Amino acid sequence: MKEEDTKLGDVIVCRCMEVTEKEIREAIRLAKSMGSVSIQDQVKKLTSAGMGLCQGRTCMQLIERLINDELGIKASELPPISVRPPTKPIKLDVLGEMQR
Amino acid sequence: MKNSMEKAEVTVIGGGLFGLSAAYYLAKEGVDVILVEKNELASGATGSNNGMCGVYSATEPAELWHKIYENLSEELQIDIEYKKSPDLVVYTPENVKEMKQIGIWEEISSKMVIGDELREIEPLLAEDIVGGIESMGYIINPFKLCYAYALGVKRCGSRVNINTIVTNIEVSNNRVKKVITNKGDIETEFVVNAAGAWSSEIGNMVGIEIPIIPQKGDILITETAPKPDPYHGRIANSFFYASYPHNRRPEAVYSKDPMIRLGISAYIHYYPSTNNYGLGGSHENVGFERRVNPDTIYYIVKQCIRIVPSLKNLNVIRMHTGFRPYNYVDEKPILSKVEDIKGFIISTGGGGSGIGLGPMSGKLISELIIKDKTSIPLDAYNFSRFKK
Repeated sequence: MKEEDTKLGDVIVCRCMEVTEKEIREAIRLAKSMGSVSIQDQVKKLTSAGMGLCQGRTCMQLIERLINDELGIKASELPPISVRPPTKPIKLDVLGEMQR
Repeated sequence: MKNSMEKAEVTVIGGGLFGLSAAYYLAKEGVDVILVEKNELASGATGSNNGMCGVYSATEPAELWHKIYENLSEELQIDIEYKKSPDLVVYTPENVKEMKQIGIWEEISSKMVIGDELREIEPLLAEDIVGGIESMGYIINPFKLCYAYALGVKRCGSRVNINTIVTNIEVSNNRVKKVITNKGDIETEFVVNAAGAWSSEIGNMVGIEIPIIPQKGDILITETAPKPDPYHGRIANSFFYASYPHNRRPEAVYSKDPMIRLGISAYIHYYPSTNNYGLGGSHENVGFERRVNPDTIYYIVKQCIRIVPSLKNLNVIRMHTGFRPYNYVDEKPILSKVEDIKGFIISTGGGGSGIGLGPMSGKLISELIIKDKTSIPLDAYNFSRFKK
């Protein structure tokens, strides 16, 4: 199903950064047109999807489904996304007290 | 693709801002270009910075390098999110003491906003901050800019080959002949080495030593927070780092003082497009160490909270590392032909101001190759300055 058919293009896929299905599909096509391999990372960089409070825990599977839909690439065939610390949000005053 | 032979007038090595802009301004003038990038677009320094258009490492007035940004979204047909970003450099009582000691207090304090006026323009500052100097900066989205340039290169009929690794460069009769990659060879008249933090490796392939090392910087990104009003795109306190060039030399890595060893400065950025803060920065000469350094994070956070105490209630959602292409000899970019190797051009060394310099550097490299005459004189950026 493409957004043109369903008019679902305005549905929010990444809730943290408020990125729509349409914006993500556009980024997937743009990354593909450049011959990109790590498509999810390019979608993150181009749209900020997956870069908010939850760091993609909610939306990355949806993004992978959209990649499959656009390009026919299964999630299992995609290279793993780059994961950054911290594993969960941490307050700055905690980090500032962590004298080693 | 394996062992295929391609041909191009110019082969650009590096899919960051310096490489893409050079490829674009060449292709726009009708030159046949192939750009090769070993990873993805903007996967080096271009993709791991704050998007601030600084020009600290150039000697000319900033406007000369910035002007090209004004119509870039229009020209490239993609919104690169070029925005004004008011900048405030602040000074602590410790900084003032040092400035008096080295005799620059008079000069700098004459430009400073102090007291109530300072609190009015920036109410978030800690109570004891002595003064600040305001200026106007600019911010862009480096990823959008890179994709915009790459699409521009393709529109002009030239090629962008990512995931293509350069393994060697063939030179004969003091002239570049061929770029060898893992996907095949490229017969070429010119090579532009825009490999950023990796550009000395490319230099080695033609037997020259380019004084560029990766300078590691760690950044923390916070959760979203309301846009401050009044607004500064950056509040910076880096006096102790920035004012002593010897602190920035590779040897600084042996210092006992962690602030010097890690090159700590407090850069508090607010990103207007995503409504969150980015906190930096560090300057470590420790090679390509991709892991975020916990010591660095501690000192950055401590220093940022010291400048803007209210930050301490925010959550950090991400930390990452990047590598500036750092010229450890004189900290200036290298935009130059190489005397002994005809057709070999170097375009790198933006250090911490690659985003500010990037678009114009590409224009200048294009002029250098096509006309041998550039709209900003490149004498100060010539490779021959490193000859002993």
